[in-house]
This record gives sequence, structure tokens and C-alpha cells, in this order.
Amino acid sequence: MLRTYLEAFFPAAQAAGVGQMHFYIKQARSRDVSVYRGEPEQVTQAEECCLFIEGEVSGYSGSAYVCDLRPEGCGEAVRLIRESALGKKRPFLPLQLPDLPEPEEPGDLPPLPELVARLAAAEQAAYDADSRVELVHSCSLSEYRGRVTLADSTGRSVTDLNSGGHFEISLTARQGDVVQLGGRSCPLAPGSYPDMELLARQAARDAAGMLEASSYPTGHSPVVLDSRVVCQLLDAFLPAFFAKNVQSRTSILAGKLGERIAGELTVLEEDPFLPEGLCRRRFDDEGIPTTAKTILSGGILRTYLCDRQSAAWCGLVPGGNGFRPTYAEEVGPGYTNLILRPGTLSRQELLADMGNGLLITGVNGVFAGANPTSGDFSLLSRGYRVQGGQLCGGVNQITIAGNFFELLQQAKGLGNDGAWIHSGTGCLSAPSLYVASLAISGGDTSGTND
Amino acid sequence: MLLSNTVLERVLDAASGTDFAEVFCEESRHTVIRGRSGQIDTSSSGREAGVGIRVFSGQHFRYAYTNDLREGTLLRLARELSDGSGSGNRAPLRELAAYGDPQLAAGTDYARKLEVIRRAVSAGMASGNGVTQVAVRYLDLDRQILVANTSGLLSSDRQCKTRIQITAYAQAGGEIQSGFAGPGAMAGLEFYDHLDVEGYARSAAQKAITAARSRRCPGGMMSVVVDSGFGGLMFHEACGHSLEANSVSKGASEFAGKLGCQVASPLVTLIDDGTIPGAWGSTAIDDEGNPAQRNVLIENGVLKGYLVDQLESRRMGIPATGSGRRQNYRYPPESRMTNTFIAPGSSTREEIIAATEQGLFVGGINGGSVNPANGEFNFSASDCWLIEHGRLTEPVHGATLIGSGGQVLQQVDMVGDNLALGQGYCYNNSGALPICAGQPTIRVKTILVGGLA
Repeated sequence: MLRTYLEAFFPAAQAAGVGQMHFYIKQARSRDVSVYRGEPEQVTQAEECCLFIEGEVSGYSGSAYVCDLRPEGCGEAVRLIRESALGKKRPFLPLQLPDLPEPEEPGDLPPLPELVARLAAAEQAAYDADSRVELVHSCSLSEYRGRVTLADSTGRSVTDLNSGGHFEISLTARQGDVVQLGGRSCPLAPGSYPDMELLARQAARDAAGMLEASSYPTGHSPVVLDSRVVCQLLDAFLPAFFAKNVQSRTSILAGKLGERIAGELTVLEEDPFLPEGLCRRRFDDEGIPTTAKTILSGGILRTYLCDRQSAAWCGLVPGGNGFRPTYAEEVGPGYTNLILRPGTLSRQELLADMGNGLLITGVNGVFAGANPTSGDFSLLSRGYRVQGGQLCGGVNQITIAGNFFELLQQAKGLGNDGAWIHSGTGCLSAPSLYVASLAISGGDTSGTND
Repeated sequence: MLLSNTVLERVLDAASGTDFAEVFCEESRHTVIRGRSGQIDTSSSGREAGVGIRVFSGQHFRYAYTNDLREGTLLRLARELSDGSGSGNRAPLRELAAYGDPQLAAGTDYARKLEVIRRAVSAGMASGNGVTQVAVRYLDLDRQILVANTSGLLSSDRQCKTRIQITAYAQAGGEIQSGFAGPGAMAGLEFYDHLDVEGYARSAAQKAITAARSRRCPGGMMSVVVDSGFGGLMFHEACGHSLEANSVSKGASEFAGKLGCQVASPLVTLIDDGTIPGAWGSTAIDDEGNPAQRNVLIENGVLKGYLVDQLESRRMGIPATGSGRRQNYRYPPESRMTNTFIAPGSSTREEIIAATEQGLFVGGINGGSVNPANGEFNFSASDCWLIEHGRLTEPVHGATLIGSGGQVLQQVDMVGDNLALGQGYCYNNSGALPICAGQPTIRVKTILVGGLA
């Protein structure tokens, strides 16, 4: 279908005065499976081929996306390219495609019965882990095998793989009238599965551990943030590191290149070749080879992340950080594998250093409760009281609040752990973090917990 | 339309070795343009067409989708889905029930779209007083759907939507804060003929200016007055999601098994209405081909019903409510909200504020989420002011409201007479959907406010 479409598109575009062209072609197969009480509750499978076309009209760049490969739609795509080029009036930038060998084809998705059996075993492991687990709502695995091809109108092309997946389990535990939620999710590298039964048991412990939880006094408290929480916060505030936002004066990090914005221990890097990284792209969606780079070291801001356009605005060299959020959108800032480097302290050592305070193991509503422009966050949270370095009872129905960049400045310790999550166009990892003080709002009588 | 009746019937036949099979066809055109001071940032326009095939086997379902519209591909996918467990019976397709205004169109005037963006940017930037940037996202959608199933249903609809999202940024001291306005409708470009674009942009700018100069919100238990409009998202989250049948049927909702019970203050009547003419969350039919409905969910505090799609209708043994929605053909439908709001009461906004000795006034809600199983929710609040001795005294920022749906519904002790709807998106398993959330000004007697101070 793609070939037929392109054979119709080229002459139509040329006849309408579209000059150079380049194409982003996404081909993917995917499968989502969820089990419920041992049976496959939902199976979704998909096959798609979609493209984003950019064309030069009078020196300007116009674009159209196409996920309807019937050749009769070519005329409409050509019209959209012309309209957007002449409307936006942004210069057309030709692709510079890297010379790379074809990637190895990814293997097929594993047989469905095998996958259902694995998921059913994970679901059962959650029920077996604690008798108070009442219901596993969802135990699911999504996998995709994708190829990204960049091509230009001279016939040159280069292809990369874009495959991965995601495991997720969510459940509730009950004790009397009290119901608490537990859950775990884990991004997948192509062709490998996490220990789903272990994650299911952890989810069961998350929920059961909160059944006798209580609130906490409003005030300020030392806090250790679990690595999964730090990942979520870092994900929410990464837009501050995008050159595009710096240039548009909507980043709090504007003008701070070379300045100390975090504690001395803080090192934030991007590494597309990280062995444990989950994103294996060799070039970005603008054809620029992905490269390893240091964003923060010694707490000092070393660079911003930029695509070609924002690099030009900010006088930076693009380093392979131009990615499309979806096939249908223009390139924006993105990344492959980001890692906030871990420290040397175990979880127990972090808690011991803190002495008394809170361990926060989960937050909700980050997408709305974290303001990437100001760095402020105020989030529904749960976790455990810590006394003398020991966990002593669950805490829920509280909020933690502060400013992410102040938090990075005040960090007193970094854990030696590191969760991974999907983030933007790639993924990121961060360790647990010990913070001297965060604002806590809770239902108990007001007080200060320092 | 994408597929002929003959092809539809062949695909249904190939999938009909199950209890139920459905073919969902979609063709859509979509434009998203982002602009800000001095430039158009990005532009994305295009066309998609795809087919989703769904089959039910007992309580379970399988789904496949593709944008390869060739009959051979669709028949192969349908056969792969069919497990031969059903009767294989298929009712003949009925005459097409065509909905939607064929004259309605999102509009192809690209220059007009750019003009709307530039008007908003210009008006917002001219608000001065520390406004550093105005970012505008224009979008429109022109969507045609066709649904056929083995019960003989054959329905089509054309849905056009447009919206402009304006975010203004202001700086005061070292503080950068933002303000937002986002009007939208089920309409084409004619929506902008009479829309006060400049007024919305100035409103967003003023919110940003006020927030940048405000102090951090204190935390703790307090009375909260939530203003009319998109503040209704509080009820969308606090109880709307928990009334969607996909949570209820598994017992994973705090409202499961409570039909007929008093679950809220008698002042609360909650309605989901997909039939409001021109509303951002409206549709003529849902994505299972059934006409949209006005569903009273809670009446005077008593639970009256749930939002039910076809699969959950089978599971629960109650009728579907025209609530099966999906973002596009890539998602199987689920029970979802449309335009959800609290019915008006008798107090004025001024009376509610004057009756509040100490508390927080919330002008808007940025977003939130809920765990339907125990109703625990969170909302990020915007445009907030402290209430002291019955008056708004000082703006604050960084407030989050948390609690559980069942508790907050009982705590509503004043409901205003000024119902208004706001526009937004709802994100869930079947994708991002246009929704309206609305309410008159209401007061929650006590709720936990998470503050930055």
C-alpha cells in the first residue's frame, strides 16, 4: 500500500510545485493482552503503516500526515503541504541522512497462550502474596515491534528499530471497609520480560501495607523519595531542560547554562547506548545520530536538549534530540535514555541518615499537580512513617509539596537504586533521594515534624 | 464511506463465530497548529482512516485494528479474532441510521486558523504587567464514523470539533506562573465568528499575572468554594469515573452495588448529557453506534444509574446508555463521560462566598485523577484566593485538593444557581476524549488542601 501511495503522491506533489521532500515512515505491529481471573479478558492486535511528509514550497517547509494510504487522498496531502508552507513561512531544512546498515529485524511476538499463562501466573502470585488482596483489576502486557524509516525524494533512506513494551498490574486489598490500591508497572526491552510474579507480589505488598495507614500532621518534614517517585518528578520537569522552552522564556532554567542548579552529587546524562537503557535509537527523527551527553554534572547545568530548529535559535549544536511525539506531529525536543546517576547509599542507609521523617513510595496526579514552568509541585502521596531509620506504619491521604529545582539543590543523599519508566519519546531512570524538608499537608492536627 | 455494506457483511460473517461482532470504520481529518509570540511553532494536518473489529466471547473480548483497508486484510483479522465459540448467527444489516450534519465541516481555511492564533497571542501579550509569553494551540477535528454489528445495527455520524487553548506566562520576581483559557465546541470554523478570542486571551494573561504575584497556598483542612465552570471536573473525577461501568462491573468502584442509596448530599444532582447541542463533549451517537443520552447519575444525592457500554451491559445485565466512547479506531470503546455537570441550586455565588468565614476559593481546576476503587482523588487547583470573613482577600498558588469521592459528595453544603460548562480532555483506557465538566459555584464544607507553604 505504501509503495502505491508514494507512486501516486510524487507526481501530484511535483505538479503542484512541491520541491524537495522527505518522509518519516512508521510501521508497527502491536499486541496488548490483559488477563482477569486467569482468562484473557482483552486481546488487542494491530498493524499500521503511517507517514509524515514534509515538502519544500517556495523555500518554506510544509507538512501533512497520512494514515490513509488510499492513493485518492494524495491531492489533499499536497494541498495541506502547500497551505502550511505558505502559512508558516518557516525555511525548509533538508534531511542529512546518516549512512547506517539495516538493523536486524526484531523477532516475532511470542505465542499468545504462553503470554496469557505468564500473566495468569502473575495475577495468581498477587492473590497468593496476601490474603487481603481482594481484586486484581488489571494484569496486562503491551508489546510493539516498530520500524522508523527516514527517506528523501532522491531515494535515500535509513531505517531504525523502535520496539518495546510495558507490563502493568493494579489491584486492591481490603480490610473491613478500608480499600487500598497497589500497582506496579515496568517498561520492557524488546524480547525480554521482567519478573512479573515478583512485581505482582510487590503490588500486593503496596496495597496491604496501606490498609492501616493514617494521615500525617501538616507541616514540614524530612523525606526520602522512592526512585519511582523521583522518576515521575524528573519526567514532569524535563521540559525545563528543552532549548525550545528556554528560547520562548517559559523555562525556569533560561539563562542558567553554566550555573549550579542542583546539589554537587547530581549528574544527569543522556546515553542512547546505555546497556540497561530501553531506547535503542541510532539517529533521531531528523536523521542526526544520537549521542551521549551530560546535562548536569557537579550540579552545574551543562547543556539544553534541542532539535535542529531550537539549536539554531539558541546557538547550540543539535545532538540527536529531535523526535516526534507521535508520527502525526512535527519534530520537537526529545531524548533516548536519560539517567540521573545513582549514589552509593542503600535504601536502609538513606533512611538511617534521615532518622525521623517520611518515605514516600507513591504519588498521584503528577500531570496536573506539577507545574513545569515554575518547578512547583503539590501531589497526593502515600508512604511510610520513619522513626529511628525504621519504617513504622503506612501514611496516606497527604500531599507533599515543594519546588523540584530547590529539591535538587537541597538533596542530602542519593540512593544506589534506580527504577526505569517510559518518558516522552524515550525512557529515564533515577535513584531514591533524601530531601531535607518538604511541605506536608495532612488531615492530622497542624504541627512541625522537623 | 470507507467500506461498502457488502464488505461490512463479509467481515462480520468472518468474525461471527463469536457471541457478537462489530466493525468500526473511521475517517478523520485533524489540524493542530501551535503558535506563540512572533511565530508559528508547529503545524500538523492530515488524514487517517482505519477499521477496528471487535468480538465478544462470553465476558471477554478481542479487538484488532488496522489502516490497511483492503478486504483481504480485514477478513484475515476478523478470522483471527473469531474463536468459533459463538452461534455464528448474524442479523441482516438494517437501513443506515445516518446522524450528524452533512453541511458541518471543520473548515479548510488555513489562513483563518492562523489568524485566530495571532489574535489570541497579540491580545494576551498586550496585557503587559509581566506577561512574557502567550502560547496558543489551535485544533480541529472532522470525523466520520460508521458502525455495524451482528445485531444488525448500522449507524454513521459526522462529528466536527474545534478548540483554542491559550496559555499565558507571566513573571514577577523570580516566579514564572501560567494562566489558561480553552474554549471549544462541537462546531466548525464558524465557532470563531462570534467567539471573543481576545477576551479569552486577556483572561489567561490576567490569571498568569495574578498567580505570579501570589504567595504559596497554605495547606490543611478547610472549607473550599469551587467556582462555576470547569471546576466541575472535581465531580468528573470524584465520582464520574467511579460510575463508569467498567469499574463497577468488577466491583472496583466505591459505588458498586449502591443503586438507590444516598451517596451524596441531597443538594447534589449529577448528570451526564451527551446530547447538549454544540457542546464540546457531545456526539449524536456513541462509538458503538447507539444514540447519545442524557443520563441522570445521582439525583438529590441518591445514586440512580451508571454509564454503561455494550460489553458492560452484557456483564451487568443492564441497558447500555450511549456511553461507549473511543478516541479513534485504535481503541476498543469503554463506558466514558460526555458533558458531566452538577445541576444548579438556589444560592448565588456571592452568598456562598459571604457565608464562608475562612477557606479557599478555587477559580479553576487544571486537572486531576481518581482511583475508582476507593474514590481517592486529587485535583490541581488554579486561580485560587484565600477567603477571610466572607471576602476574597489574597491570591495564592500551588493548591491541590485531595479526598475521597464518597466523602466529598456528602460534604457539599451549598450549590449555586450559576451553572456553566468548561471544556477539557479525559484520559483513560479508550484514549483522550473531548469532555465538558461543569457546575454552578459550590461549597465543600471541609476538604484537605495540599499547599506549598
